[in-house]
This record gives sequence, structure tokens and C-alpha cells, in this order.
Amino acid sequence: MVHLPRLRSDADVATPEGAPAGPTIDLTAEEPVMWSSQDAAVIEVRGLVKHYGDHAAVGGVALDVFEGEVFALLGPNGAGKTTMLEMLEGYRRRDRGSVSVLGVDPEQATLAWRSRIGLVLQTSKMPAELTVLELVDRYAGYYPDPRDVDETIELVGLSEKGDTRAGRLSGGQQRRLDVALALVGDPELVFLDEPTTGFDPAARRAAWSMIDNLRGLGKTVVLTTHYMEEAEALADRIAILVKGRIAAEGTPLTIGGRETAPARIRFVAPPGFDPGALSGGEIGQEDDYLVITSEDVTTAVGELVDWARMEGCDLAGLEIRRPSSEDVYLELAEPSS
Amino acid sequence: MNTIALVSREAGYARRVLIRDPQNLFFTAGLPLLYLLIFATIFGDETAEIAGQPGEVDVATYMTASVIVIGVVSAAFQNLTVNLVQDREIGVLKRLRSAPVPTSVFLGGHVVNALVASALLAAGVALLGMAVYGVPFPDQRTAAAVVSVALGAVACASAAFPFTRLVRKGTAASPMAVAATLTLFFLSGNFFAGADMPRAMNLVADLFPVRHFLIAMTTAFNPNVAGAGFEWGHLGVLALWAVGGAVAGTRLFRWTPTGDH
Repeated sequence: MVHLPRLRSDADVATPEGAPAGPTIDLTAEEPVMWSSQDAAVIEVRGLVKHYGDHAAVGGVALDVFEGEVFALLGPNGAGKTTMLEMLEGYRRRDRGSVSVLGVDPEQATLAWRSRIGLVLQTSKMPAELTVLELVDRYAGYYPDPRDVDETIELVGLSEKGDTRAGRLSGGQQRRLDVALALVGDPELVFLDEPTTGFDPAARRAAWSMIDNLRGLGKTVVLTTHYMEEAEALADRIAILVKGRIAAEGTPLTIGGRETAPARIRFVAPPGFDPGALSGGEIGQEDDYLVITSEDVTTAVGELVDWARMEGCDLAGLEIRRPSSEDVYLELAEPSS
Repeated sequence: MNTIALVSREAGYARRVLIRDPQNLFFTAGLPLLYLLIFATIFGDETAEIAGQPGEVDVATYMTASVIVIGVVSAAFQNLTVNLVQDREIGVLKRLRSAPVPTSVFLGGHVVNALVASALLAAGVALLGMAVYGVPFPDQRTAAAVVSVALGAVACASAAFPFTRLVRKGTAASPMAVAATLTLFFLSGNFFAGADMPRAMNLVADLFPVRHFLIAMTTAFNPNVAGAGFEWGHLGVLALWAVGGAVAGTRLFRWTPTGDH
């Protein structure tokens, strides 16, 4: 089954009348941003709240995850990603709200429900004395209709390590073994909590291609990460979690409204430049550069080009960019004053 | 896979974890043998009268029965408690819990593993006692010895499950398990052949499996006992602990680290 990233259309977004366009921040979190989708939601979360003492680790979250998509929960450390994931996995109890995962409340988890879910926790912990083959085989035995054990080990690239004890694997290899344990039951839904944290760049690339394979297998994947780069590379949809709330949600292309956010046009200011000559946006100066911030890029660029032709200016160092997803993330995660 | 196959697989994994950890193996299997060497060497030539049993018994014979009890308790209760608590606190059990494994299957595997380890350990201690200290073979009481070891092992393993709920930190598991068992060894008379224990101590000890297990074992090893040597009353208490511990343990068992909620 092929799933294309779902693009947001205007009709999908319930914007209150007169509200400014841009990132949709759902403060009440009773209803998530709606998506045009024929698919059933595999995960439905409404008004989810979890406190540790006085601290709200999750402070009112609503979201839907649909069949076959790769969904990333992105956020800085302490944003509540793991708490949230563990409430979906049935490990933690919520204080308020409702959660449905594969049609079941995870707090009422049954073995039949667990057999449809695979997961990788934030840290890989397994009996150090058992070998890769023994562990994967052990987990396979619990599931009604498991995948082939050798093939699963091959899928995570540990074929050479079948007889190695888990305790003698490197950190990255243990992580891959953990993924094998998550997949051997052939689950419909896979949770990956920070699957690549602590990996070197090569191992990260390998993990990415493995997660991409899961998409190919038609699995629904929910992963957490604190790298936007990772969320962008893997996910069909991203939710940015900051201080227990979803601060933005969208596809890598639209997250935070970045596709329509004001663009920054900058170039090296020619000597004797008169800022009054341009009107397409707000003009400022950064070091040697002039920076035009404009919501109407077409007009601003048109004027700039006309002006440059007239003046014979070659617009040295010209750049036109809208906020990258990383910019959106950093702005939400650590708002500048 | 059916339940019996799953339980025996779990037992196999528990066994591999045990035998592949040399330190663990030494403390589980080696210490009881060492205890027997020490006790029997100190008290080897003495004899003692055991309360409620006919005739006098060599202290070496009593100590062999007692060290079997100590060994089984250390393998089936102490070791199991420590392993389960540590695996729970560092997250090994949490990870395992993601899979659809019934609690009863997982714990059942540990009971079977404890039973097998206890049987081997008991045989080792008995052989050492017979070979080195001339402890008489139980003869017609062999069945009673085997049943006592089996019931004792299952009772201890089952008692470990609810006990793990009392321990809240990985580092506390070993001290707490040792404190509990050492206290019971003293109260039950494991270290004192023929000592007259105060009645209050006996009453406390009677609440727990160790004293019943010890009486069942010493009777089975006492050559003056006529007949098959089954201490049915004491074996009955062990059976109660086995069933009660298993039921309570399965219901109370916690897979996630203390503080995860």
C-alpha cells in the first residue's frame, strides 16, 4: 500500500474567523487538526493530560495517527515525548483524556492487543547473557503469527551476530536488535522511542533506511526524536511537542505554516543604497547584508530585480528563503524573546 | 505455541541466563557446598537429638539436610528475587512486557528453572555429604527427600514473586532477600542441630516455609525414622506456600521499574 504524505488544504483547517493565518496552535486540544483522509485513525488521542506532582508532563494533547503513515513526535528533552508514547503503549496511566490505540484503551491492554504492536523503548534493555538468535526466537514464540526469525535478524543487519550475546553487542547493534524484537511479531503498529539517539551518522543513515523499510511493509510507525532532520527524512507527518503541548503539526513541507511564512530576501548592500527605493517588505540590515522580510515574495522579488536592473547592481550574495523546518522547530522549542 | 511449550522455553532461557553468569552460578551452586564443608568439619564428630524425631543423628547428616534447604532457598528464592528485581528496575522486564507473554508463563518458567536448579543442587550436596562425611543414603525415604526438595523449591520460588513487590530498588534486592532468609535460617534452626528453640521463635518460623522444609528434609535423612519418612503436615504447608505465592505473585507481579506509573 502506497501512502503519500497528506497535504493540508485550507478547508481542512478550522480557523476561527479573523484568526491570523499561520501555524495552527491547538490550545484547547479537545480536537486535533483535521486531516482529509479516508483511512481510519489507528491512534486517537483527545485531551490527554499527565502530571508528575505539580508538573504537567503532558498538558492537553489531541492527535490522530492514520494507518500506514510514519508519524514523528518531535521535541526537545523533557517535552513529554516519552511520557506520551508510554501512555499510548500501555505503560503509563493518564490523568485525563481519552486514548484509543487500534481501537483499544491502552490501560485495558490485553495480550491480543500487545500482539498487534511492536515497540522500541528509549533504552535497549535485554538479558545480556542471551544471544541475538535466542532473543529474537524467544520473542517470536510469544506471537500468534510471527515473522521468520532469520529474516528479521537480516532485516536489521545482524545476520553475522546471531550467536553473539546481547551484552557483547555495541550500543548501535543492541538498538538494532531491539528493533528486531519489535518487528518479529509482525505488528501492525510500531512505536520507536528515539530510535537513533546516540548513533554515529552512518548508523543513523542505516536506521533511517530500516525505518523506511517499515513504511514499505505497510506498518504504521510512531517515532519520537529530537532531531528535525530525522523527522523530516522519515515522517509523513510531524507534531512538535513543547512543554507537553503540540505547538505545531503538519507535513515536513507545511509544518508551522512555513510554506506561507514571510520569506527573507537578502543580498550584499551596494554602496550608497537607498532603502526607500524598495517597498515590497520590511527592510533591515544584518552586517553587510540588506534583509527584506516579505509576505508577498513575488512583488518583493519583482521590485528588487527591477531596481537592480536600473541601478546595474549584481545583487551579490542573493538568497531568498522561507523558514526551514529546523527554523520552525527552533523557534517553537526555544522561542527567541 | 501451547502453554506447556512456552513455559518450558521460558525455563530454558532462565537456565541459560543462570549458567552463563559465572558469578551468579558460583554463589548459587558453590556456596551451599562450601557451607556443608564448613559446618560438617566443625561439628562432624558430634551427634544430636532432633526434637520430635527418634534416636540421635550425626550432626553431619543433619547439616547435609539443612544445607540442602539453604541451597534450595538461595537458588529458588534469593537468587530469583534478586534477578527479577534487578531485571525489573533496569527495564529488562518492561521490554519483555511489550510482547504478549502471559505473566503466568513467564513466572512458570522461573519456577521450573528453580526446580531443576534445586534438584541438581540438592543432589550435589547429598553426594558430598555421603562421600565425605559418611551420611547414610535415605533408602526407603528417598521419595520423601525428592518430594521435599521439589515442594520446597516450588514454595520458595512462588514466595519470591510477591516478595519482589516489597523491594523497590535493584540495589536493595540482595540485602533484603539475604536478611529475610538468614533470619529464617536462624529462627528455623538450620545452623543448630538439636537445639531447643524457644517456643515463640518456632511459632514465628512456622509461618514461613523454611522450618517446614527443614523438618521434612531432616526426617527424610534421619536413618532412625521408620517408614517412608513423609512429613505430610509440613509438606502441606509448603504446598500452601507454593499455591498462595503463585496466585498472589501472578496478581501482584510488576513488570515496570518502581516509580514508572
